[in-house]
Amino acid sequence: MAKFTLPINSRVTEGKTFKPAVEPKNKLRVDVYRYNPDLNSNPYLDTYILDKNDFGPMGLDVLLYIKNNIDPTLTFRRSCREGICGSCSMNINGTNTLACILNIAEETHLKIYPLPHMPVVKDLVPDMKDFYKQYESIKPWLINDTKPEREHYQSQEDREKLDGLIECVLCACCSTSCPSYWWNSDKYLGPATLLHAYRWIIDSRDNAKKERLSALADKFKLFRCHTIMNCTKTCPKNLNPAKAISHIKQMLASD
Amino acid sequence: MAIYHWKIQRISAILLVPAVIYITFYFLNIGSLSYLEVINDITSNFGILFIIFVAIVLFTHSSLGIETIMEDYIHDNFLQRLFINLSKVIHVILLLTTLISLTLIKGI
Repeated sequence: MAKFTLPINSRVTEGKTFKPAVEPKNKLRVDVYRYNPDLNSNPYLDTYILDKNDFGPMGLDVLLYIKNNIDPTLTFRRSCREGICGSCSMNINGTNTLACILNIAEETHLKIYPLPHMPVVKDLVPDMKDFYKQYESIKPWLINDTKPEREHYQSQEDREKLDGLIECVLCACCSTSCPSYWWNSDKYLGPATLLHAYRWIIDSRDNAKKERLSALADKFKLFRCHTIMNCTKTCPKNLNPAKAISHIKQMLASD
Repeated sequence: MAIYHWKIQRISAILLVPAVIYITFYFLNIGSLSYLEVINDITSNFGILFIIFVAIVLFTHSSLGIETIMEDYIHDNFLQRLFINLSKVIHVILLLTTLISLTLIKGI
């Protein structure tokens, strides 16, 4: 049954406020969600008053500045700092995004939370275990028993069909912005996984289109998508998972 | 089964669009019609077929929609099945009520 109350120890309380000795010229207030499972206490919101002249223009620059200069206990994932690895996905000012490609130059107040509706490992680090299991379930690899002399050739037209799909970095911004995924993340595959499923379905080199489609023909795996479109709205790479999902549905319906 | 469910939901939604437009315009104009004229419209061959068609499509669409909502929000399997079946029974009762009402009006 849907839960109408928050679980124990989930209410976010007020944390510490870190202020500089001198009033910043270019002030930025940053509220960051903090949670340490070892403390067995509620999560809290720490506030940092910063000067934007001290760091770069991206969301990740802010977090790195806090970690390096104010609070080394702040925990978050990051790697490539250019929107390729998908590690620094988090919720900033109410939108799931990649911190490294979010320009905060015009902002005066940031509210930073981990990706919504995911178990939190620590601070801004969500547990992605189930998300990756779902990704694995769609067999994200080429299925083709024929052994070509050199490689599997593909026409330019067929290759173009993969544009807008292969750019997905599996940051999970789309899946964790989807209300259907919030309520049924154990059964619904979510937009990111389905976008990748479609990527393999339409790959001209793949021979398992029928099997892939029949594996998705399930009222929970695929049809929990109610075309809410949050996935497309939030995607930091400007991809369109909702369109990919609708194409899968059309393929199943016309089969 | 999931595809069948999805198809029927969409087809019924499309079928309801012209029906709802027709009903809306009819109701906007109903003030200018007398009681007997309305009864005549309902009991005409077109009126009866239209109401039966709308009732079947509407209750099918509604039943499937409510089933989807129950599947979304009720995670306990027993309760989910219970409420879905209850919803289906209510929809059948509503359809029968419509048909019986139509028969009674026709009898006036």
